[in-house]
Parts: sequence; C-alpha cells; structure tokens
Amino acid sequence: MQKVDYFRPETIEEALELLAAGREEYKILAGGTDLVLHLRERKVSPKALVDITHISALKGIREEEGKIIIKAATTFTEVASSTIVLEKIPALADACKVVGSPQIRNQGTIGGNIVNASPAADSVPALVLFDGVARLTSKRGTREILLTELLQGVGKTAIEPDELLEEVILTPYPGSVSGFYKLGRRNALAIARISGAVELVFAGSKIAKARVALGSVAPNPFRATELEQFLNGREFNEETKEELIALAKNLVADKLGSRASAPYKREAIAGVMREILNRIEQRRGR
Amino acid sequence: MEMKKLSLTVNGKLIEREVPTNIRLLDFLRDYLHLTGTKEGCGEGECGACTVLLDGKPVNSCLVMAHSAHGREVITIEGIGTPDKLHPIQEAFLEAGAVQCGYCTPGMVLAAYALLKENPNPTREEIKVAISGNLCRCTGYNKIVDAVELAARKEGK
Repeated sequence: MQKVDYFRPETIEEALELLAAGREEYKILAGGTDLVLHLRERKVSPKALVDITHISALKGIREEEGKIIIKAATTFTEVASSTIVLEKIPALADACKVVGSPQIRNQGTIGGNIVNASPAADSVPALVLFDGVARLTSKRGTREILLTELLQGVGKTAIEPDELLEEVILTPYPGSVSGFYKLGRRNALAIARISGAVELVFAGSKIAKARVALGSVAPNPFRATELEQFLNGREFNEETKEELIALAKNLVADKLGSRASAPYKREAIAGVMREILNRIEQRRGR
Repeated sequence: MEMKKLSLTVNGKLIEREVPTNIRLLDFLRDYLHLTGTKEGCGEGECGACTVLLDGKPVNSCLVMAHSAHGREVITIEGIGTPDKLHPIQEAFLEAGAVQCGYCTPGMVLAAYALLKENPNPTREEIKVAISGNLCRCTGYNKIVDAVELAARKEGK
C-alpha cells in the first residue's frame, strides 16, 4: 500500500488539533470499509489517517426532547440493533440492516456513510427522511447543517478539511411509523440500485403527515416533496398507494432523464414503494 | 517507512510490535505473525475470506488498518481450534462435508462462531444472513449451512 501516516486520537479535541494541523492532507478514517480500499487503489493519497474509531465520545445513540442523536463513529450493527432506532425510526434500522454484509456492518459507520457522499449510500435516505442535521465541529467552533445541504453531489460535501462530523440529529414526527427498502442486484453486498424511505403519521384512517426520501436516483439522496404533498391528508388506502406509486414513477423518470438506468428504475420504484408501504402497514398494527 | 508501536491481543496473547503505519490487519496477521489461516481473497471486502473477530465481531481484515486494532482483541482461525483439538464448529464442517477447496472455510467458521456466540439456536435463515458476507466459490453453501446447524445442535448438548 502507498505510504500513509496514522494517528489514533482518543478525544475529540485531539482529533480537531490533528485536522487543523493536517489541513486537507489528512483524512478521517471512520471504519475504513471504503477508505482502505480507496487508499489501495490510490484514489486518494492523504499524508496521514486520523482514525476516529477509538474516540468513545463519538459512539452511541441517545434520545433528547424527541430528537434522536447518533454519534458519527457508531457502526451500522449498533444502529440496526438500537432499541431507540427500532422503536422510533425503524426506517433507519431497515437501512442499516442491509448495508454490505455482517462484516461491513460491524466496521462501517454512519458518519463514514454520510461523508462518502455516495448516491447509493444505504443509510442516507433514512437520515434525510427524518430531516437529518449534521453537527460539524472544528477548532473554530461548531455548526449545524441539513444533510441535504451538506451533500453536494457524488463524493462531494460542504465539510471543511478541519471539520469533524460529530453527530447526526434526527427529528422524527411524534408517533410516526416508517420504513425503508433497498433494491440491489442480490441480497448481500449489493450496491443499492434504488432505495426509498417513507415516514407517516396517521390520524384515524388518514395520513396526517408524510415524509418521503429516495436514494440512487440523483447524485445524493433527497426528499421527494411532491410525494409528501400528495400524501398529506389522504386516506391510507389502495387508491392512495397506487396514485403514490404512479407519481413516484414519474418523479424517478424526470430525475433520471435519458440515463441508461431510467427505464429500469422507473419501474423498480413501484416495487420499492409497495414494499415500504407494506412494512409501514405491518408496523402500524403493532 | 513510518513505523508505530502496535499493541493488541491476538488469540489471547498480548502482542507488541513496531509496524509500518500503512499495513492492513490482514498483512499484520499473515506477514508479521505468520497466522496464515486468514486468507486474502478479493481484498475488497466482498468475499469474507479474510474474516477475523475484532472484539468478538466478524470484520474483513483486508479493510481494517493494522493500527486500528490497537488495544483491541483479535481472534483468527488459529484461535478457534488446533489440528489436535478441533472446535465443535470445525468438527461439524468436516462431518457435514462443508469443506471443498477450503479457502473460504476459516472465514465461514469465524462467521459461524460469532453467530453461535450471540444466538446458540439460529434458524436456517439466520445462518444464511450470518454467512452472507462470505463467498464460497465451490458453491457448497447448503452443506455449510448444514454444518452450522449441526454445530448448534452439538454445542446445545
């Protein structure tokens, strides 16, 4: 492998010192399931790695005044098995359960998945769904930015070289039910061909509030506001579901334009949406 | 080459070495400790041949920097059983005929070991999920799943 130095800070302060000193020449190692591969392929050539997985303050999940806060170095396995996540934001558990393989889920982290800014990042549609906000920290201070603003295209983010993604803050609607589904070429280790996440709040038989996010359709996962507006106030029945699916097909066709994958994805979204709605239906009954 | 001190537990033994900062855990285990039971397959985290347990959980050692394992506990296939005293999972693999060329076997055994630690009575489906990160190019998957079921029954006794 190419030459690269390695640092293993144990506190956030130490990590911020290193990032400030290293500027853009240092790269954060937050699990390594992508970065170690990219280093070997020489897609990146940092002077040093700043391994943040030994910082205990960057691990864990907590609930605070209705918000769910996930620390950046929390692994997919930890997120998928968290009681808070399973109860309050099951769409994120669905997403983290199907990342890569058990090995990848034990090593890869939520923070790494965000910062990589892949169009197919498995956890990101579910994070965007709950209005995910990234908390970035540097020696200069701390700022919060919506994930949809943080992600700026394939592999691009608004994170400065001296900034560390400390945590992601999610705001689910109180009493909501949610689900996520990903379609890959096979079950394990497949990159998402298309994925979606839906959150609904029910008032009797009606949908009081809705959020919808899609992945692998645009350079980054995004909120499908057209679909959300359609769902608001509708009866949750077959007619609504079929209309939603028709709208989702149009949206996907619009977003992908003449891309080679468009004919496949605009049909595939129907199956993805049905699967998500089934999951929500099952969870609603509990 | 940049060198740093690495100290970790491998198969129950505390190990301290000066090693380059740019090597993977896989390289450290094979080239420095000569624990060659851990195999390199794809080198990309797709095949699971390099699976080891890091703090009890299966990971792809080809995607872990060696120094990331500092202060942690690694278990390789050499820490599971010996030729004289096989682990019940290894016995079950032999009994069920779950070994063909053998290249994927160390990773499969470790994935099974981690599963049975957490879930001593897995369903067939749970076994399939647990080994979903391990490829067998001889494609003897059914016998591997049979072996894990057999191991669960043996250990349950």
